[in-house]
Amino acid sequence: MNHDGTTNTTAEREDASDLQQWIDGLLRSSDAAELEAAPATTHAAATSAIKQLRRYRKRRQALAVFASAAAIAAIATWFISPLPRREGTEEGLKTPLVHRTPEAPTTIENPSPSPSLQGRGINVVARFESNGETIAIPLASDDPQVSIVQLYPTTTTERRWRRESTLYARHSGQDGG
Amino acid sequence: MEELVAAHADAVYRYALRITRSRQQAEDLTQETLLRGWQRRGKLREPAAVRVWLLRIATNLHRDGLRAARGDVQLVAEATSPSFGGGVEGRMEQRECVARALAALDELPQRQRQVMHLVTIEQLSQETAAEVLEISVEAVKASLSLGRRAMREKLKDIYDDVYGTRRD
Repeated sequence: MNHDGTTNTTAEREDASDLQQWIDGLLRSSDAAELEAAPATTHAAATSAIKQLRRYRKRRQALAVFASAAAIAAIATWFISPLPRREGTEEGLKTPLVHRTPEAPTTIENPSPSPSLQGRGINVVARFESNGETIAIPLASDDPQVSIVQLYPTTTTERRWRRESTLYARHSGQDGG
Repeated sequence: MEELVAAHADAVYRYALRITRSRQQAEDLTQETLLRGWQRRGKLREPAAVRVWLLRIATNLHRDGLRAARGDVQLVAEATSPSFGGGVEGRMEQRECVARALAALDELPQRQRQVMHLVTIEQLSQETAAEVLEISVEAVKASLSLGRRAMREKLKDIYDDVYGTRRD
């Protein structure tokens, strides 16, 4: 009895195993792959979409490179340009400024040439127009065609420069600089 | 890029067909999967595992319901259902058996269908299938066991007919 039951169970398991192998074989067969093969339109559409995306990305990258180059060029031009800078910036502090005011212009001419330059026959000439925001001190120059002027801000001007510098630094930091 | 599409489009499509049971949705899901795969190809840690990676993307896209809004409900079983008129032999008989097996597979519940496809058709290990579906290996084993049993029950008559006929 037990022997027969065991035999039957074993036979059932073998049948189930054979059946499962047959099913797995059907599902893995080339016929199954053919029946469920991707249509050619799927290949074409996917390839086309990827190509479009790649073209779009290339255009975007080219645009980004161009924009970066333009920005670098603009910054370089700004640094190299001999034009006077905005007051309050670092460059502005280093660059001689001429403040023009229609009222009561002040003119200074060669107030104190260096004794050493006098001995070399170099005539130092400087001319200023001031509105009272700066104090201008002419300095000696090795080239007779060049005048050098040292500018000092008055108290009011210096306070304004500092305020502008602080604002500039704050906004630069916010921009991620 | 073309290599990616050519090499894996069929596998992705078959899997998409299995989980959507609609050719139209399977095509959409395949295109979406390949496109997403290409966009995120930088995140692929193991290039050798690109097929598994794409199948996972397809699973997630389907799960997110990106294809759910479409109303196409044409079942693969309808498109491929065999006509068992009897008397067919050889290759035709084989193709009909295949079609019947695929139809039976598509009748399984979603999870069992996915697991059966990944393990049986894609021949992934149970661990990899679990990774694709983001479920435990135990859940994969359970679904596989249930799916196989259901498939055997559905196809036993055909199996007996085929082998009974051949034995005669």
